[in-house]
Amino acid sequence: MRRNGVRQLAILQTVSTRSSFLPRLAALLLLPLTCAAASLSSEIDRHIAQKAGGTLAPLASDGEFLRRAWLDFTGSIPTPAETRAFLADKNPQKRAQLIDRLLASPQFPQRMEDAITVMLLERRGGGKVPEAKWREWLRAQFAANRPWNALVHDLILLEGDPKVTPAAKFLADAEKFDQEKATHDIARLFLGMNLQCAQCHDHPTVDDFTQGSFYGIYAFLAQSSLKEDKVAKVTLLAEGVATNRVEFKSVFRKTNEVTGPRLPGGKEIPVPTFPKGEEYEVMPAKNGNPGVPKFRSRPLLAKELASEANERFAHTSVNRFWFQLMGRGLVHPLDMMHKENPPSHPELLNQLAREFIAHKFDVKWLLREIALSETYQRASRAPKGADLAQLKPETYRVANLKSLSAEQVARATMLATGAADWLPKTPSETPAAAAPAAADDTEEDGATKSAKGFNVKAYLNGKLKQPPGNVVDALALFVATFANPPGEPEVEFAPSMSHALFLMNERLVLDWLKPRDNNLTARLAKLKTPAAIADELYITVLTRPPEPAEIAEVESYLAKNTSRPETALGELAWALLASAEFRMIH
Amino acid sequence: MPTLLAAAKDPTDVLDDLKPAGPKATVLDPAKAHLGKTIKNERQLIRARFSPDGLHLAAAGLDKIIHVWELETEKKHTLPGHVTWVSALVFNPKGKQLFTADFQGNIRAWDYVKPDSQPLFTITGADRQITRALAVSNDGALLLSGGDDGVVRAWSTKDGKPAKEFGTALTTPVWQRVFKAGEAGHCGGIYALAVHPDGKSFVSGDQFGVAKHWEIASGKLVRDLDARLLYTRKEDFIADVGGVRCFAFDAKGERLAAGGLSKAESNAFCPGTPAVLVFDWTTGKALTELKLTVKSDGPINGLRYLSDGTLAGFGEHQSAATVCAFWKPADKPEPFHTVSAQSATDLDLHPDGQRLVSPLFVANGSGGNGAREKFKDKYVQNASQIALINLFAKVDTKPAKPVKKA
Amino acid sequence: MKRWYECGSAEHALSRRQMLGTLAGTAAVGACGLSSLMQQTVAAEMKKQNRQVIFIWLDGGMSQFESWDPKPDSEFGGPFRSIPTSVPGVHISELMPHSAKLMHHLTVVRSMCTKDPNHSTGVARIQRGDPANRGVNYPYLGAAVTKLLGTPANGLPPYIWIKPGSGGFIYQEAGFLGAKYGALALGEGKPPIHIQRPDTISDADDAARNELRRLANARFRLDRRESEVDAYEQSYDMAMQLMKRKELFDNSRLPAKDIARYGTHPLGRHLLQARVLLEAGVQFIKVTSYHWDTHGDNFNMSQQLVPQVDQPFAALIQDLADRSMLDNVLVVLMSEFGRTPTINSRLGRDHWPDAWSLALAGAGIRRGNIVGQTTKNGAFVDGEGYDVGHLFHTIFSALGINSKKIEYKNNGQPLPIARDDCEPIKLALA
Repeated sequence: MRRNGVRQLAILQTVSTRSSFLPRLAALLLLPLTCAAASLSSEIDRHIAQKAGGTLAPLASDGEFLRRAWLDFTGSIPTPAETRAFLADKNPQKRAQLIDRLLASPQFPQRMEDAITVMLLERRGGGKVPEAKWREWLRAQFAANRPWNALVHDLILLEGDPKVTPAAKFLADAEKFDQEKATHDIARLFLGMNLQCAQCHDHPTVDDFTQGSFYGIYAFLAQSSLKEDKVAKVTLLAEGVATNRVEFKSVFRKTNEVTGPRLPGGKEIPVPTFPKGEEYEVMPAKNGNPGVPKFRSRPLLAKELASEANERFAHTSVNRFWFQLMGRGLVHPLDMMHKENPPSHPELLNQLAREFIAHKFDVKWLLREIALSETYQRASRAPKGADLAQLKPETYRVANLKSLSAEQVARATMLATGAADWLPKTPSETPAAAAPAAADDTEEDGATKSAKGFNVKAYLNGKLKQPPGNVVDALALFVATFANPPGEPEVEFAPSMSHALFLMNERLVLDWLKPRDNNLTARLAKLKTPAAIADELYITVLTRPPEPAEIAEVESYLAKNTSRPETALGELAWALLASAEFRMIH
Repeated sequence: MPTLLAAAKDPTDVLDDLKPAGPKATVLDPAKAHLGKTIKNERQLIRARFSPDGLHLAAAGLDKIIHVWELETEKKHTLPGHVTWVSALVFNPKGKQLFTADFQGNIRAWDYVKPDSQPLFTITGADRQITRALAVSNDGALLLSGGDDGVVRAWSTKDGKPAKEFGTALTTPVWQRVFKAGEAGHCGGIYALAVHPDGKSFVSGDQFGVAKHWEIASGKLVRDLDARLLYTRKEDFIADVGGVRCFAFDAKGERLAAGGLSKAESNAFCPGTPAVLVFDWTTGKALTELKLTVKSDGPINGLRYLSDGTLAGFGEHQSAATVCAFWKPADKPEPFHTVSAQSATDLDLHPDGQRLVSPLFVANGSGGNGAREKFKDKYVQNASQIALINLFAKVDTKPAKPVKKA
Repeated sequence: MKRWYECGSAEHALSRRQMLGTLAGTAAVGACGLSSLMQQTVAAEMKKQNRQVIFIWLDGGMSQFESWDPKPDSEFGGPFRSIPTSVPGVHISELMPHSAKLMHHLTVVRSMCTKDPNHSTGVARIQRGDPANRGVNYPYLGAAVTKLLGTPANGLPPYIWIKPGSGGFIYQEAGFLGAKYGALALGEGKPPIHIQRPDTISDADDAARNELRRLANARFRLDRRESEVDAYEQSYDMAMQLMKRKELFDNSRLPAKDIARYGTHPLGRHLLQARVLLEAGVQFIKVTSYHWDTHGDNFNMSQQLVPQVDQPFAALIQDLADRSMLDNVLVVLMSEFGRTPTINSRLGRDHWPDAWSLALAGAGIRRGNIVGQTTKNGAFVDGEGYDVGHLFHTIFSALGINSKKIEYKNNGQPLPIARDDCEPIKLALA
């Protein structure tokens, strides 16, 4: 409020120097409102500028911005035609228009599906619900722009049979409901608290992460377990009657401690006791309905966790979405949100959280505001004269480099090489668009065929020779190569020799670089001049026109390889696909 | 603490309940079972059993000696025991004989009523390395032992002379063993033994969750019972986890319960789901998988059937309390009653059918991860207490103590 | 972040001193004493050029009571016996019969006393030498040795990590030294499958396309913080070097006799593979075995686990001795910490940094040697205890690296390579 006041005064002074003072004064009465509504994107820039400690990089070139926005919001790169049109567009509003168009595109929910699946499931695989079903459900949530708190609420509440309920894949998609894992996941992903140490004892170096905070969350879930209703033939994540608070004991101390359900920073919820025989809303039936107790703590967790009042949830949520676009959390590491690891920009984090709540946890709105900021649109190269050593990632003075996810590498590689045009979309050649509408069997059938037709593990162990022949299988191969091992969050760029070996020696990728139909190398082969070839190559693969030196390099390489022009074109394209520029969102 | 850990009372009044002249419950009521008296021992105990005449209680474990309480006189005496930890302890149902075994494969027979007496005989190297289980035939003639080498050996209870072998000895080290279905003998070390009430056969349970049914007279393997649920070796494990840890037959010999740990999550903490399988003895098929409803992560280490068909079981929990659980296996897989207590390594039923006994873990305040430099002087081992679990309703006003003899 | 560090590595130290020596000569100072001193230094520096390390890491903590420091008669001892070794008067657990026969090659330190009882910080903290908090990420031992000994010119990855699970290039281990000092991890001991280049691509074609790629990266790197680009470039360099030596990873070439001696279990296979890589000249090999954190069922687990290291560890020591490699190869076998003397409610032992054991052998290490002792009941160190800092000084000293003098430079900031408040364990050094 105070800052708004200052700004108001500044404007008053500016205006007062003008001649028509009085008529404008009336308009100024509206200013507090206008200022309060200053767009979040400009507020982001103000906060970042305030703590920059040096020159900020200028805005990224159109090409760099276009590539970044496409990868961030669709998960792939633009087609060459798309790129040329954007570069040629003279409209000063074209960046905002692009952001709106991408956010409205059908690829946006798919991109969120990829990103949020990796975030929540951490590629753990397995379980009863097929990942395809979970993804379909998650995509629908983002297609409908479901409020984030509502989505999270559903993940925790988990009504319905976990064996067939897609949302169950997060919390309870296993043979048994693991309350400890659920507690860890909820704390880490939604509360910014890595409580791994705190399960057995208070965190040795982080005062905020106590064993009590672990067991407070745990107490919400302690009564939940998978129960089979043999009459209705469903399994439910049922709740028993909470009779006691949860008892825990530090491995450091000998005393036992107890806690009831309590969110970190919140109040403990008293567990009511009922006279014997009156504990249930719905009495459990022998071998049948597991019953519904009058006091249920899991719905309380769902409600309290994803509520406006839970500051940690809002902070963690905006921090994670910020990270998704900016490559570094305001609080970093993302799950170490505590006093000793303060945010780089505390006021910005507060404001993002506040406005995210005010906009009813509207993810699309939040991403849009961040993307509209100059901070998001900054160049990734250092500003002139800046000391590279001083360009700390947490200053956001240049755009931080972000690694392409496994899915992004796959989609971008298919798009760039042109394989996206000719590769069948699914193993059964069913157009992908038809799948969601079809009955459950179709996807399961598809998945089965895929498993029979292409087994990634067998392929990577050299037991299966035939490379993948469709988009789904190719994606699986890229994910198996580029994704982190199950259970490891994908936060840092983790290049591996196996990625390099894959790009150098995987026949699939090398085949995509052979001329065919109207793919990249086929188009290049038809072009006459090195300049035209370089232009098509760079626009297609790197979403930007080539520099003169790059055109010269293409020319000299082709001149050296006149006896094998097609192979040489493939090699030029390969070098760009294998370059750091392609591998990073810059 | 909500659990039992009331400080151990003066040992002289601990065993009142069990004196022949002590208060007797008239009605067996497992639904009202509760923790009774406790006796503390300064080292951890592994086994605790009642003598068949109900007059003695014997226990042993990490302190290598055998503790024997005479219930009538409340006197405790000890027997010299073993050179290493005691792993198994069993009374001869006929006569005054106690057998104990240790972690180096030695078995000893004792005249347990004689304080400080030397062993009646010693069988050395009985089962290569560790002997883990003992049982005695119902006629009292044969002592059965099982351990690391996977053979069940029968010894004469008179002199310890070898009488019979069931299966062939494994020669590969414990860590290199591989399970194969349908073998004539065990593929892994033996953890549990129980003789059928008819006295004609017995079961042996192994490291891999296989229970083998043997005929005593002929020495023949009758069949395998599949308790593989109690064994886990995930792809990334470097050791076998679980095994059949205990057995119990019901009085008529119609049911066999096997206890242990299922779904272990690692071979380090070895946390998993405590589990009991109840088999129909006639068909050999598992009828029910019993479970606990409270959080507990270790194996079920002791099982006993009560006279009303109730099955009692007791196990371990890492750094926290667990329960002694009571099931009606025919009704539902969850216990109908539990008694909260610290981890237990054994369970036995008094011949009067009214009380169970278990050696329970007692933390002495030195547990948990180091560093303990500061507490150097106070660093002590953990302990045990022998705990009785009364299988009847609590009596609110305690009847007057029987008058002590002058 | 641009990393400006003056190299503190061996070659650079060597070349600076050699240059000094030459200058002294040309200036005709004629001080023979000085030049012979220089020669000694050069000789010492030369000594470490062929030094190698095998670092065996039992993740989670092996119980000292069930291995190097049994106390069967104390209240904390386990049920297992202690057995005599090839060094008269020295006993270890019966679970290590093979190592017992080779005790005359080993130094066992029984007086480790570290600070951190937690895994969450423990693995990294110990493998980084427990540096004081200086606001930087210290390198893991393998990365540190790679930096300090200098990358050998044999074209092999200097730091290979054989481990269960997945492999890859683990650049995080390099800490502030920068990505290129990271570890090449062989998951399940296997090299990446794409090590085989399609026949259609000749050496020349491969070189040409990679040159194009390097040029593209060089352009992209301009005016950008470079660590990501470096890491990416590094992953390709490693890939290409590895492709040249792929026969080294062909486990079908291992002699059957050796496989039987080491064991077919993961630690057996991986230690045999490590021996082959040591013979080929790989400078630092880490072999990790997981699941040693026996909080539950410690005695049944130790009975199964300890022999799994005993057998191949002894086979490795024997092979190195037979091949006269023990003079050059330093062998370290250790965990994060030991296990508690007290036995918990699940017959497990918890984490115990207060008094635990580890084994050293080979280059620079005394043989047939026990360093330190624990109290009669095994619970605490009796006498001087050694922290990880002491261990790092000892390891560096054994490799001929003067850990009290040589420093890292990170962005101009001098940083000790091992804790400056610790010393080498002299009793462990030859």
